Amino acid sequence: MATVYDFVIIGSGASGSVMAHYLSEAGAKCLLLEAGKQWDKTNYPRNELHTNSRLFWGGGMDATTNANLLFLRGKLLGGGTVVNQALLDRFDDLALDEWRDISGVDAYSVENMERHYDAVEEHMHIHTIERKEWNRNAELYAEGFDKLGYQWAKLRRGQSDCQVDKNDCMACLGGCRRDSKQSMPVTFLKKAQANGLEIKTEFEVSDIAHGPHQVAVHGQRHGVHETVYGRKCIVAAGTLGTNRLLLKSGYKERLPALGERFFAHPQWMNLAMFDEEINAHKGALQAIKSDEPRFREQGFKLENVFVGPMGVTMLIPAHGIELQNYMERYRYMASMEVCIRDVVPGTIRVNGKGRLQITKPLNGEDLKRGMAGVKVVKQIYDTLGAREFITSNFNFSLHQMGGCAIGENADRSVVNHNYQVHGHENLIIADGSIFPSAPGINPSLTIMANSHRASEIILKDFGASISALGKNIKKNSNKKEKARG
Amino acid sequence: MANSTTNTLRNVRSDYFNAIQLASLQRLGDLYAPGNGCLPRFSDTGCIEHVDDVLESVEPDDVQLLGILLLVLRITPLFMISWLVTAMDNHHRYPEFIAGWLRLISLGMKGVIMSLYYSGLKGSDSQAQGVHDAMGYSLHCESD
Repeated sequence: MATVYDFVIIGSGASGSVMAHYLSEAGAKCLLLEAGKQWDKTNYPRNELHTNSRLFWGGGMDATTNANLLFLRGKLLGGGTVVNQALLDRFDDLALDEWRDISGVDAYSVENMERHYDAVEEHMHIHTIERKEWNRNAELYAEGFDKLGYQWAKLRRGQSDCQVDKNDCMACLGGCRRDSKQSMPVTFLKKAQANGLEIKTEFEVSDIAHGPHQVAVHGQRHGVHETVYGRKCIVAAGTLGTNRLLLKSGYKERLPALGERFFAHPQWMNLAMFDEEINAHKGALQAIKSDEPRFREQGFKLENVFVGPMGVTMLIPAHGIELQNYMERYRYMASMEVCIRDVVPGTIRVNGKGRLQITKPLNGEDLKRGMAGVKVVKQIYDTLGAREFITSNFNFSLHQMGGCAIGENADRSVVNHNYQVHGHENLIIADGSIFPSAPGINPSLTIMANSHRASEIILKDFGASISALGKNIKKNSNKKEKARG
Repeated sequence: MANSTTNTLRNVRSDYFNAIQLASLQRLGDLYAPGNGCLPRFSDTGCIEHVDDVLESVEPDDVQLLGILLLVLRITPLFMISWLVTAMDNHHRYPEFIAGWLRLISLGMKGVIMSLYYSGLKGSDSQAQGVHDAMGYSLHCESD
């Protein structure tokens, strides 16, 4: 007879791993399914080609149906947390008040979310990047902001010991070789495994069948069909993965809001050529961020960031000798990215083969926000004396959100205030897909905080709170240790 | 140039593309990266030997479409391909129904070629200077 787990968790990123930790810690029998492989600091790919092809869905070439937006999303144990920049920002009043207004969920306020942020932050080393760690790209960013009277702030990053005087954090976009980055495998997932979490990697889920007493999750592993059962199923496959699984499983008929209101924080990348060496790829890849109220009001932020050589070639609209002449001067490039808080929603669908079909207009208000940001970046680089300024005509998205919005109205949302899918109480979602709107702030920490809140609610439903069960576990382990002694 | 192409393709084994498609990809690679005195020519690096690594997780439908495109471009005059590539670089100047196609083709074609070339990987017989060395690009991050 097949094992029935308390929880089957699909996806091991910022939501799945956090929930796996809290549920396993409370004594629940959990199975985590991950489509990607398990990697670690000893075997992460060593170049951009293998990083893209082995650690990202679609080889890093996922896009909307008209390729106006390219998506990067991790496909490995730990999900996006292994390949992102580990920037950990809390949401502000603007973001959370809007969520509360749209969803009707009172939990969304800075005050109410504080303890959830506190709880997840306790599990990670969070480092504020100091001036002595800046590279030249960051120095230019701050210099330009200061000259024009714009406010900037230091970045908070999940890292324990990067030593950027001798290490280059761009390398960790393909996995951190020092285990300094506070990805899920070195934080929540590690603890969950110590508490008995079972993990199956390379398990591609094909269908989720919801029943009144349990959920059946069908999929394939190494070419062999497999079905696993859970009393509840937590879908935490990331925004695109979660939407795809529910759409493929036929839930759209009963959930009209599924796949609607998709947001992506579209980005416009800008490069500036200088006469001096910038070496933006060396040291701390990102150190500071815009903290300018006027930018927030206008719906954009400016990121101090850079990309590897292959990425840069996609940003420069040129080929042949012209492109090679630019690339020869890669080390003389400074870079700043415009990231907008998008308000024009896209849609997520799947075709007959189960492939994602994503549309995301980049026009109207969103285009206006992007162009306002690009204008400021050009102004900054002009002030700094850049020789040439290039804005990419390809747009990227590193933050995919929505499609399974949280809310009380089943016609306009997919999950209720308890993170249960409307009409399917054994299906739970707390990943980025539940975002009712784009916050304009890095979503990773809030996905974790939401997942902490969801875990609390689920465990109450199971008859115990996290803290009480946590204490019981500690008592039990103390008893065991005494018995061993 | 013909000899160079033949030589570097001799070592290429692909589960996705046949010899005609590989020759087409090599020709496009040289259009994108013809060598500029500092950086080597695409075909001289032999990086095409790693083409299957790029394609291993790309959707099979997309690989098939790219393969068809490569077959068509193999018999397309170079001046027409140059025009197409310039149009892809400037897709934003075209009406959206054309721009979308230009972006999709660019993503597949430029994406694969640039992934190969700027990976810094070389072919087994390549004598060319490494692309990363020529750029002065290196990353270091190791455990203590």
